[in-house]
Amino acid sequence: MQDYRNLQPEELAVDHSFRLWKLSKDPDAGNFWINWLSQNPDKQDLIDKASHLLDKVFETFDEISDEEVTNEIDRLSAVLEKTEEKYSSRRLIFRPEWYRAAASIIMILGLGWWMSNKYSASKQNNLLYNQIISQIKEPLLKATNDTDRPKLVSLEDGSTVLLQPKSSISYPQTFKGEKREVFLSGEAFFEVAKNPDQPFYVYANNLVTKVLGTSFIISAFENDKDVKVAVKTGKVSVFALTDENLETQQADNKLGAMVLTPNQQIVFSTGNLRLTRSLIADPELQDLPIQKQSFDFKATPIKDVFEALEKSYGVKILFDAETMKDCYLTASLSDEPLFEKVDLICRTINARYEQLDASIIIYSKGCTYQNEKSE
Amino acid sequence: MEKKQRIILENEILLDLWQQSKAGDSVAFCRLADKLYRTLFNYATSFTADKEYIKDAIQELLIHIWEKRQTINIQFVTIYFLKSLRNQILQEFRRNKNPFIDLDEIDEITDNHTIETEIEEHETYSESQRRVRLAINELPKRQKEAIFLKFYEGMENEQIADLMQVNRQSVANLLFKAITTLKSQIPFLSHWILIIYTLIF
Repeated sequence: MQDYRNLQPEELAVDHSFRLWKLSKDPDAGNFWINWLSQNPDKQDLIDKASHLLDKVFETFDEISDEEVTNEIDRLSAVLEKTEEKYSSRRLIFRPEWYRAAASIIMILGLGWWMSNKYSASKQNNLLYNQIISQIKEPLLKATNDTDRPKLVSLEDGSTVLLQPKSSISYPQTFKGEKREVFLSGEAFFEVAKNPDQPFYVYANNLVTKVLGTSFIISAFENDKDVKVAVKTGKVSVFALTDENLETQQADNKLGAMVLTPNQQIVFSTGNLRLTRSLIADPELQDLPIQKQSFDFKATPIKDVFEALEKSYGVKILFDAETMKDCYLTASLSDEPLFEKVDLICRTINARYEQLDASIIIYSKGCTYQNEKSE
Repeated sequence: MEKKQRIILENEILLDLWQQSKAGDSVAFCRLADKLYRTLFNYATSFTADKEYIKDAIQELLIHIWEKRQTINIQFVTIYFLKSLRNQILQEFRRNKNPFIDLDEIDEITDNHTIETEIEEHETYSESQRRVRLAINELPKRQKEAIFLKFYEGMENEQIADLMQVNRQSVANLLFKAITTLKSQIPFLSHWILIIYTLIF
């Protein structure tokens, strides 16, 4: 219990319980404060001053009348109605084909990295790496996977990272500024939430991968000579971490992006500092289970859908199997982050979800239709 | 002036409305907008005194969020909306009004405090209210913004820092400067607000 006796009025004015009483007229909070005041009659002055401060601030900032608010909401409501009429035929149902279209832009990118003068290069690059890390102002969180199974790490922007064994990733709690930047050691599968205004960068060994929203895998163990990037969908630009690039990145945020089309791979050679494009796919990359995994469901019982997600992402999905026994899903999901997938599924079957630690809880009142199954 | 709705916006309730909105319920979205409207509007007065401009900006923002709702993931509803509004208004400032404007320069812009508004205020508010209004409204914009978020919204310094895209220390400095100014102009504040320095740091 907070010791309110020692508070200053300005501290009390921002206390949640006090505000509930003064602003929301919450009865519980009211009882508490009346009771508190009877026990601390000498603090009447404190209460008065805090109330006074709140009153003055609200008087000052309340620049709009209730009538004006109502008018504005009516205006909004009218616009929404109009757009709904226009789009109602388009928005009625969940259209799996949209996601199939998105999934068809699959591309596999292999990147082999050969370092001719490994030692001097890595030393210099470590310096650059530290330089980039030192620019990150927020403290970084670090997730390490010491288990022998993949571990799911979810980032604040909705992106998910499936961290492979013996790997670790450092990331800020919230992505501030113009870039989302994470630091990988080892191997991980990324599903990046789309946000063109805030590109996503992965730094791994000496390689920088910039994405705008896609799914891909990076394998960069510290004592490996090769850094591999495998992209499942979307566009990625890859560049080497050199002085020059570091400077251009800082100066104009352009990384000399090389746009890759399906089945192309990029090879970087440190000897001539050139990125070479070729058409060979790295067969090794096909082994990555989630990379070739697609979530195609056709009238699939919801239990099996959740099982597939549980297996691929190593999360626990809690739901009432009995209530949801009549729910089936027809959809093709690909590179959306896990929570976006869950969200899409929930919208399709009229359920909602909550994330609790490493589990996802599904709330559903069940499904009454059965036509999908019988068709 | 008529009595206005003053209520603390509980994130849980707002999130519930947001989830319904996300599922396509436009009535829920209007209810959410109604709950947030006063906060959004009053926050925007930290950036401009042009009420009609603010109304249009909020309409534009709400429609944009409605259209993009399926791609938006929200944790703290009020903060998300405030942040989006802030970005939109500041971006528009940069684009239209003054292409060279910088966030830090917003401090330099002052409202046009006309004789009409002065008279209007004189009729509407008591002398002590008027003095507080004047003192707060004459604060540099960023200080006013910090005061709004701290005392109107009841936000933590950390949340304010995130919203204003500055560090926690800068928020503490802004609040300290603002309160020092207010202290010198508003008599009732002066005898206790001294201690706020220790609270903020």
